[in-house]
Amino acid sequence: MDSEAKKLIAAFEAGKVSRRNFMRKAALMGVGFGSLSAFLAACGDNTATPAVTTAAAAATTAASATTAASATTAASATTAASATTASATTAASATTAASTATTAAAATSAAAVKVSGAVEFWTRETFSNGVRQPLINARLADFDKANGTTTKAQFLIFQESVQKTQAALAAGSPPEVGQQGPDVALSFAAAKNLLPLDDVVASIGKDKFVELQKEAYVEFGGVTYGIPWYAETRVLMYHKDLLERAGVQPPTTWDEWSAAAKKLTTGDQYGFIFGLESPGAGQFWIPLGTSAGGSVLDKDGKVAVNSQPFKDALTFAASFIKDKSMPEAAVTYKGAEVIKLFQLKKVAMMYTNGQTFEDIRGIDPNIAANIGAVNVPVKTKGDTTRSFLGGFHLFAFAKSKNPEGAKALIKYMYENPWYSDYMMKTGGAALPVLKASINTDFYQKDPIKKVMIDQLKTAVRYAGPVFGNVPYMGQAESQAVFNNPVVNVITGKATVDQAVADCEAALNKLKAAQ
Amino acid sequence: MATNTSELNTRRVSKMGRRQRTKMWADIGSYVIIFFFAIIALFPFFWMIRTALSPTSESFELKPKLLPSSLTIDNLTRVLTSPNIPFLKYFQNSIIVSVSTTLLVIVVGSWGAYALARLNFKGQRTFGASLLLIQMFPGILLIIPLYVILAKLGLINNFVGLAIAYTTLNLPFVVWLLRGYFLSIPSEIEDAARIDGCTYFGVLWRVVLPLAAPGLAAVATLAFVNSWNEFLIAYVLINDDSQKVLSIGLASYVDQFTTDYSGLFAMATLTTLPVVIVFMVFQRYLVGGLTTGSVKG
Repeated sequence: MDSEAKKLIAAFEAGKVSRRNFMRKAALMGVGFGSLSAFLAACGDNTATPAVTTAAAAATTAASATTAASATTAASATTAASATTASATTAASATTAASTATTAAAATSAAAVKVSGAVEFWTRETFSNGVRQPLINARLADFDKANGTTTKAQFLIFQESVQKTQAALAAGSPPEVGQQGPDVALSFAAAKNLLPLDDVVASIGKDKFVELQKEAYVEFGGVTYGIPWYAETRVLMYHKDLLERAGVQPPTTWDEWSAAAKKLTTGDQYGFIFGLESPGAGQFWIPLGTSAGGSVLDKDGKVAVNSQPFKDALTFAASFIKDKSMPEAAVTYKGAEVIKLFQLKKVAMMYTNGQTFEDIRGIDPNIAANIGAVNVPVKTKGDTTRSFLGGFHLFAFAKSKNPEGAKALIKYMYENPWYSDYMMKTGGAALPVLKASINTDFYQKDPIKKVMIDQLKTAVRYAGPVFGNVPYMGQAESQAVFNNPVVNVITGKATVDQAVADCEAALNKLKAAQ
Repeated sequence: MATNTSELNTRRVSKMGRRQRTKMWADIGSYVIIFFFAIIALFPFFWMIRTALSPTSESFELKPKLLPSSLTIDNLTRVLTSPNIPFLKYFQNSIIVSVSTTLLVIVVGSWGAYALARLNFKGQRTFGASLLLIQMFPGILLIIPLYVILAKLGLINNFVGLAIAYTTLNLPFVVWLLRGYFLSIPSEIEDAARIDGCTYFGVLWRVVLPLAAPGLAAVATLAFVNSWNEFLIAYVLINDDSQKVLSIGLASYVDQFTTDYSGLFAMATLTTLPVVIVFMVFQRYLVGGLTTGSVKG
């Protein structure tokens, strides 16, 4: 939106756009009241500055009113408000400062508005470690106390959550706030079902977020529609005692990995396992290929999966079954069964995430204490280690009956100390995306979490780090476009060359249908 | 002569004996086959109950044993007392929805079936054929249209909406089945009632429905079981925790990365019990009702 806004301001200044058209276009761009004021401020409008100031004052008042409920809110609102005034004044004389003013004013807008009415949050938070759903309910109750809203959480069951949301969208009655993975969120954004959230990002502070790979952001046409709420990524976890007994060091390269898996395969124990149930195998293969130098989408957005790095990665992924260091029946295993095998120490190493570790710790802390983790090994020393980037985004629906309430709730879900506390209570299953939360001892001094945090920096989804995510990647995942090549090569239904070519053809078909 | 008669008798006895032996072996063969398939059909139920009553540590093993090392009711207690997935509340909701659906299906289905069986109206054959055709469509296709219609009627997140949705799903089959059943009732009885002054509705209520009781019991059982087991529509249409039904609660035990097998099987056991009871009570009607309707075109 920044570039579009700049163009519009430049056109207005050059006299190419009338004031009336300028206002109309700005409104159509989804610029809120505060942002519009900043627009005008940037164009030297005298009425604009007081409006910003009023907004700033209102922010402080609103924030003060909320102080009892949340001191953090007040602090951030006041900061944003003073930032607004300063920026807006500067913006009046310089077009270049317009975007800063817009951002700051937007920050004010998001922080200042005290919302009311009903807010429904369709969340994917589970009850897996017993605390997440009650904590969400408590947080929503606090939000209601602070605002006078009536907020309700709907905990979606993961299998059918997209279908349920699509039905609600088709009926024109979506909730206010949703929580889904970035691919689903991006497909909703591309179908114009989401509200722009640049103002919410600005109000939280863009610089407060940790840097993730391009695909982690739900941006469409330069506008942010989904904000990463937390992430998860996979690393190579192993049972320390099994490796010690076999005299094996945790691997750092594919060759070491392969050799370690073979050496750890003995009796009814296997060396390594990764989930083959869709989309698990694709989430193993694509990051490996990306680490080896590939990118599913090249710099122009062209599908480029039919390349040597992905062929090498596919050959390598399938080699564990060929070497018999992974159970041949793994193609029939469900994700939960794969995790159980690792928990029962029938498999020495596993490509998995913090949720698995937490589940094992919940069942038997002694087994968990014996688990180690390393970053996903690379093909050649010096390559960038890559893993799959999972996690959830928060977004607001365009047809929400309470858009201001939706935005206010989203912002509220990032406020510290609640945010850090919530993420910590997931035990590392959910990795925070705010610097203040991630730079704590809980993550930095824990050997497993530290590995996951490091892995997160370079973790990718399917499209790769070059071009960024595109809406058809979600469809590709749900149609097992990335999973099938691995399964087909393992089961002998396709050669590596065929499987990769089929994957490229399927992606091109989805791209053409977009 | 006497010798011949006794020989004949002996032959007859041995022939009967052979027949009896053949019949006996045929019966044994039948029972073996039935037993074999019964084992296959019942094994999942046995495994469900076995896992529900096993300690959690034995819910997933590489080399599972047929019988658990010990029996426990911990899993059942956990499911019954879970604050997150309130079993008793969901059970109550399932009863409300399933019984409402069953009543609606019987009332609307019997009217529709009677009209199709006895009344002559334009498009009768096409309508009848369309009922068969509708059953070919997978239920998933109906979700979005159903949601849109019910949302416009303000019936989302509402037992009434869910019961209406289930009724629409059950009606094609029920109407077709009851139509066959009604056709098997001699029309002369209805004609006599009409001559005595009964209206069409009176004929249906006083004559046809009492005679079709086994058919009604069959469709009622099927409608109840279908509603009880249905998941997808209930999941899409219901939002509030207080309105959720058992099938949604069951799915809550399966997560993206983990599955609580003990909880899942314990809840499955508790959820299946009412269905089994309904089947046991109505099974004699069910078989009779289904077969009677099936041979009438």
